[in-house]
Amino acid sequence: MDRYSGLVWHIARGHRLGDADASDVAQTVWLRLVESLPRLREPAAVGGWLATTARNESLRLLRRAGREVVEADLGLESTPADDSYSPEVVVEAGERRELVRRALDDLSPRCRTLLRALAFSPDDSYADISAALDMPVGSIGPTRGRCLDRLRQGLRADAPHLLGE
Amino acid sequence: MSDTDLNPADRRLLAEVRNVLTEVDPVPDTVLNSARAALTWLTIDAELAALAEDSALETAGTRSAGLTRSVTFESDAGLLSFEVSEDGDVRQIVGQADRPADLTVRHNGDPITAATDELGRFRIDGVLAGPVSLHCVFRDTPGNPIVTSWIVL
Repeated sequence: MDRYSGLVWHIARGHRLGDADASDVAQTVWLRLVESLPRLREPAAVGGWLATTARNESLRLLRRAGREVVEADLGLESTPADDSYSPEVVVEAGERRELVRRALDDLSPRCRTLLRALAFSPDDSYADISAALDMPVGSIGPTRGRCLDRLRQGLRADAPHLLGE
Repeated sequence: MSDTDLNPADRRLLAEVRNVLTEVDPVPDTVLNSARAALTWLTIDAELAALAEDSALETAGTRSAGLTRSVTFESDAGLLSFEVSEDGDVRQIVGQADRPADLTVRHNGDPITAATDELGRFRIDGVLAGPVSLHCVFRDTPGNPIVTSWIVL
């Protein structure tokens, strides 16, 4: 479970859930996994299962709270960043972290969630998690490549050195 | 989708994302502990009852104190419906099993036991907000209990 704890947490956070809601999602996902263990036919696919369940539970909590989630479900457009991090954290974190954090926050909910999840995917589950979250939109192509490009574009203006270019 | 279409630059970028998020938004210890504790909640003797209806997903109303939510769980072995009212971090559950049963609520506090009346009706106070699951032993079929899938109340 330790291998996947970051994955579940960051999918919930990618949906902009606060500490309490994200904790509820994470705990529920682990409890669901335990209750589903007898029926999971392929243990190797657990990464994809966790990613799908974490996303669904995050969306459920957003719906329950009456928040609009159409964009989180389908969209690729970005939303204004919120102030979900305390000023103290930002100051301590330093410029490099702040730049990456801001570039992530400027992404659409879907890109943000996907990249957060992939950043915390164990290597052997990467393909499953990618498949679980990365649904092609129309004929545009895989979301992942577009999301990585958008993050890169966001960073390029302020922090090209982070891209190794 | 395979791992091989990630180029080295993509890998570096994702590694950077991981490093930054590990610092600015680490997984709380409470979440790690609850993940490990989840294993102790495994119930192997009961049939899983899936969530069949949840009014919270049908209405887009904002959450507020006093709002009542109704949910239904069903399995081949039995049916369980209840309404949830909120008061801060405490939930009250009022509901009905399809026949008389003895219930145990699993939540973030100590388990709560309750018995239905002869019509299957029950009321449970003091359920804590967060993941909740009900274990239900029907009196006519005690050897075939059900347990509801976890849901955040």
